Amino acid sequence: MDAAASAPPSTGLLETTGRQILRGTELIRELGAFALIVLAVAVSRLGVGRRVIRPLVAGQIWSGGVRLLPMIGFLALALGLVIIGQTLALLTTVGAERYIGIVMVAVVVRELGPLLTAILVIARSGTSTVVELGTVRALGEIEALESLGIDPIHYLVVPRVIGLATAVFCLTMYFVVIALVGGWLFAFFRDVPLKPADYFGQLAANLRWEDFALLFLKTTLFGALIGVVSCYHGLARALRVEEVPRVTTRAVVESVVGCVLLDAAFLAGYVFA
Amino acid sequence: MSAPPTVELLGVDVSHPSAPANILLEGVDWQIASGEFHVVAGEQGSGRTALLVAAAGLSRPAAGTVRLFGHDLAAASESEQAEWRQRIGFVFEHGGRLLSHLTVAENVALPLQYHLGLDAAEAHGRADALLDASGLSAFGAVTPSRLSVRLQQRASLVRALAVPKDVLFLDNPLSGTTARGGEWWLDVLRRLQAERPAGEPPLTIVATCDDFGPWLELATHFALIEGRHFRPLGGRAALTEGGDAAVRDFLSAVRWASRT
Repeated sequence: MDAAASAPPSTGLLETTGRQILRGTELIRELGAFALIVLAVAVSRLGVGRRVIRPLVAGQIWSGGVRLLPMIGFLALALGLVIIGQTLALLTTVGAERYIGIVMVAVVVRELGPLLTAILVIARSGTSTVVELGTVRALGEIEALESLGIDPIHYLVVPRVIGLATAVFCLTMYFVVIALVGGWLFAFFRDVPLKPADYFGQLAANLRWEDFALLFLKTTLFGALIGVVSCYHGLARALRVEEVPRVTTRAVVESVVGCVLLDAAFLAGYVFA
Repeated sequence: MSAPPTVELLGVDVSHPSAPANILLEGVDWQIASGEFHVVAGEQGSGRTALLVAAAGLSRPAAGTVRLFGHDLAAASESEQAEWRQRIGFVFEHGGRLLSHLTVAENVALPLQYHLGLDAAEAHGRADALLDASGLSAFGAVTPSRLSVRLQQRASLVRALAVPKDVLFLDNPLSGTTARGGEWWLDVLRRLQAERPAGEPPLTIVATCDDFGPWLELATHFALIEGRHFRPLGGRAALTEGGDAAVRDFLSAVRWASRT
């Protein structure tokens, strides 16, 4: 995989950039291939070993999602207060308090909610997945699963990808609701002349059904991406103990970049649709 | 005999699992018929594990053909391969590679739930019964890391046989055992072959070892790994009549004097 490692590295900026780009395309190809393999296994083994796989998926939703609820709740509240605070201060100067609803929808529901939730899930579940699967591989348990007639991808990766996709979606819903409520609470405590009916009315007016569909699509793709990237890095290579922190960091960075790029793609969809 | 061999290797080149370019054994020709008990001796690092893994169809050989139950593995589809894999049990060396995040009982219950679709209660009930029959019931509720390697190895055998199998592969099961521990394994294997339920094909056993001695009484066919070659020796007679230096190297009479 490190094809460039054997040649003496030239240090020019152009050469370095070129090498990075080549590595990047190599990585995208490998991750893409892995994602397709996971999809193929998930589809072809649908219904196989249900009694084992379903509890595994539930367990992943629990550890990747439910256990993050307190942290997400706290961050959502804080964010809601902060955004509302800043925005209200700004809007008040131009007498446009009534536009607060649009801002909240555009910022929290469409962009910040999904992205921040994804980053939190990456930090918590992405890192632990790399370490868990790295350990599984190091202990030779992959061959053990094969010897039992169990597809290792079906047992190890599919539940994590499905679990994380579900978790990011549900956590984002939770995040958005709490952030919006937090926003209103701020307005309430600052005696801003914004009635709850007006606030939620604005929100309702600015939320279209496409927002929900796109939110579902975006968040599940975020979760699936996090699952694929972290499982890949855990399983792709035999990891020595000293390599684990570096590989974990790589997985985190790649997941974040992947989510941001996906977000940009959706933004393009919003702008041009 | 018109029935094809249960396991057949034709011109197989066996390579190291993590370094496919490193060929450990060349041109392996091996036929294992139903009900036979094969034992292969080899030094550590000679490729005996890689050979067993290739024979069980768990890895693709660098060259040659591997046939299981008469079918060519490389030409088979995923679902067909999965079907044959379910009839093969494999016990790895050095603790049998139990899944470290599950308890011993959960390890044994895993194939029962995955392949037979048993619900949790029934699978655990059966797993407990199987562990009980092997004298391991005291260890069902602990994770494998809390057990000694020898007990882990025994639990791995129970897991491999949780779903009934037609062929059993064992990688050096007697490594690190005392005379008593070795007795346990030989008794279990003897009983497994003898107490086969009516209507089922006889159990085929393939084991690797680094000493023929303990296996002389039970095994029917012996083979040797010499350098990069796999050398079938034949039946018990080939060993008891002495044989050349290479064969004698794997016959340590001292440890098992009491059994001969």
